[in-house]
Amino acid sequence: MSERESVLESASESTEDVPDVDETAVDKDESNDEPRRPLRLRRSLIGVAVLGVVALGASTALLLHQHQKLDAAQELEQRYLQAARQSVLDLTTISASTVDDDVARVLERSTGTFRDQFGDRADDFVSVVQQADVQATGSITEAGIENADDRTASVLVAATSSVTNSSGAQEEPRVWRLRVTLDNAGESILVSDVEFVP
Amino acid sequence: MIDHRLLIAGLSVLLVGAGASTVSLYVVNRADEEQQQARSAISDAADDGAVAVLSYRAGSVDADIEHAASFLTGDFLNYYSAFGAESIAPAARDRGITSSATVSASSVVSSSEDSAVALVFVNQNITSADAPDPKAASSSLRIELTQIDGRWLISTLDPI
Repeated sequence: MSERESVLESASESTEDVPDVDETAVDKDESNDEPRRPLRLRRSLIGVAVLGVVALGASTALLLHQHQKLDAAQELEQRYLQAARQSVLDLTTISASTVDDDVARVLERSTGTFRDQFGDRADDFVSVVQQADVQATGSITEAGIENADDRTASVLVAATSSVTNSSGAQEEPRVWRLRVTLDNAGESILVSDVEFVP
Repeated sequence: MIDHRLLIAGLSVLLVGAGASTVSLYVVNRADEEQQQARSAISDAADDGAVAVLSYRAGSVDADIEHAASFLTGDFLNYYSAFGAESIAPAARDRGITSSATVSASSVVSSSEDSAVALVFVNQNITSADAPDPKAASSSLRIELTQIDGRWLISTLDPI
């Protein structure tokens, strides 16, 4: 305390004239001003930063949405490929003893004109398979996307099947080049057409 | 004062975080988009290469093989160059063989940034001096491609 008082006293002693008072007045003004300027600066900085965060947040949200769309497109392509492979397996793996189930499985996974046409011919198909005692086992060699969007796709499938029947075929290998057209029905992917590629 | 500092610190963290996520998402999306757009480039390269490899004329077989080689890379380029010089060219010249191939359908099995697999259905007509009536053959090709200096080249070609 005494030390501080003496320091203050000596300070007041040395500043005991008018210009010194003026100086302290100027000092006071500056000391009032100094926090104000940075405050303004700080406020505008904060404003800019908030704007920046909002802008970047918005662009992140946009990009995230785009990213999810791209991810969904890639996932959908895999589902199209899987559905096309399965449909060709269903069509090439037929046995006289299970032909009713085999046909029902194809119909279950198809739509549109393909479903109508296959349904119309199903009875004939069943009787031919049973009369000829057909045993056919298919396998997929390769499948690729010809084109695809979020509603439909066309997939090329190279497949082979080994066929045994009562008219003499003994595990006779057959090679197929097929184009499978698919509809995206949301929960499931359905076959709308199957054609031979010439 | 303390509130302001906290605010500024918080905002800085948010700014850096938002900036980083924006940039990384942008980069990832660009790569995904490029990959999707690459499909037509992959198909074109597979189709053009397959047609070039399976098409030649007796009169121009050396140039035809050289042209086809420009679509290929790696082991398949070596194999094809050797097979072309030792088997295709002499057979084409000696027996007057002409082969012409067309693509009937083409698809992409899978693709990543710099490698891809295509499935291509090809029809081929072959004539020779002995058999001027075209003999037709159809095949399915599994073609692996590699992107080198921005160009898709065939590194494997297998009839399946």
